[in-house]
Amino acid sequence: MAHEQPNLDYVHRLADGDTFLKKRLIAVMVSEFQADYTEYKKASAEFDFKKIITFVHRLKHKIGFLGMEYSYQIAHKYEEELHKNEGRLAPEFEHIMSQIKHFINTLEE
Amino acid sequence: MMKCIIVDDELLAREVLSHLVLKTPDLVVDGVFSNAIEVMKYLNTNPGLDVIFLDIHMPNFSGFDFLQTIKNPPLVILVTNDKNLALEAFNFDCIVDYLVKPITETRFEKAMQRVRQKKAVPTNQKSVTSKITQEIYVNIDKRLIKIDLNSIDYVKANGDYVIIKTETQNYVVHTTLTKLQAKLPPEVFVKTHRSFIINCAKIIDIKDSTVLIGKEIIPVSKNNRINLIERINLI
Repeated sequence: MAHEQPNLDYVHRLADGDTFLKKRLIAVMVSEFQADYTEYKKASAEFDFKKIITFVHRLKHKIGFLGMEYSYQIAHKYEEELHKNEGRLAPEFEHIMSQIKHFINTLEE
Repeated sequence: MMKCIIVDDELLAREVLSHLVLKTPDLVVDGVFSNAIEVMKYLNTNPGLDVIFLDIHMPNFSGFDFLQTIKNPPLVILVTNDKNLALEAFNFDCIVDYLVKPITETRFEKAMQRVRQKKAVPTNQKSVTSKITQEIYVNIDKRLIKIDLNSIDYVKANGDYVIIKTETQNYVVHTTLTKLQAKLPPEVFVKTHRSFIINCAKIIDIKDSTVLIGKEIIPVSKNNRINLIERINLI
């Protein structure tokens, strides 16, 4: 299981003190993460591997955006597994998703 | 002033790229698109485009599909979540660089330097770059065996031989590391040590003077470390 925590180091570096940009990027990330994760769960329930791969790929970007390098590698391996119609890393991926959801909740508080 | 467009199905990526372009004095965004089909229409009516920032993974019509359909494409910087597609990317002469998300400002500027260098060379002086092959053939026991370059983890010198380590097996070939390196695309394969060449797409992590590929720890010499760091998408 991944033990690293999501963080905003990347967006802080990119925004370089531009609060408006920082807020905008975080808002877009949160919105896309929630939409992608919903679609991922839906595709998983329907065993639609093509769609699962699509949304794991999109979620991988958000994992990287949140500075979770180890989790990014897990997601990448999971995506590779899915291309072979396997999904053994699904629980680890789900754990990463939970961490991000929890992190997003703290942002919204 | 150079004109560019951004093509990515993810809004987050489009926002980050738009910001990075905004910070680049000699570059302006002329269009932002969420799919490649819209870009086809745009290109028909908008000549004089300099650069396309193109996502590879898009639903229905991928970045590579798009590149295969357009004639005389402008310079292209690929944007992707997937390091493993680097070899395929360099099959297209129009592709000048390959950015892995999340994109850093430093890496973006490096890509732009490549664009400027390409633009500075008149068309008739450009070298004719042949397509980079996806495989090599090695002579083992009088048989020419094909090895997919994507499958190579690393190459190790061993006396008069080299050992090519792939995902599934090892090949022992009578040649030198230098001769073999000349056959490998330098964008992907980097010499990390006098006895090792690695496939950058296979790196799991880099620590001090070693790099982890699969379960193998490969040494990185002080002299080669800079080359390695330049190849990776470091935040």
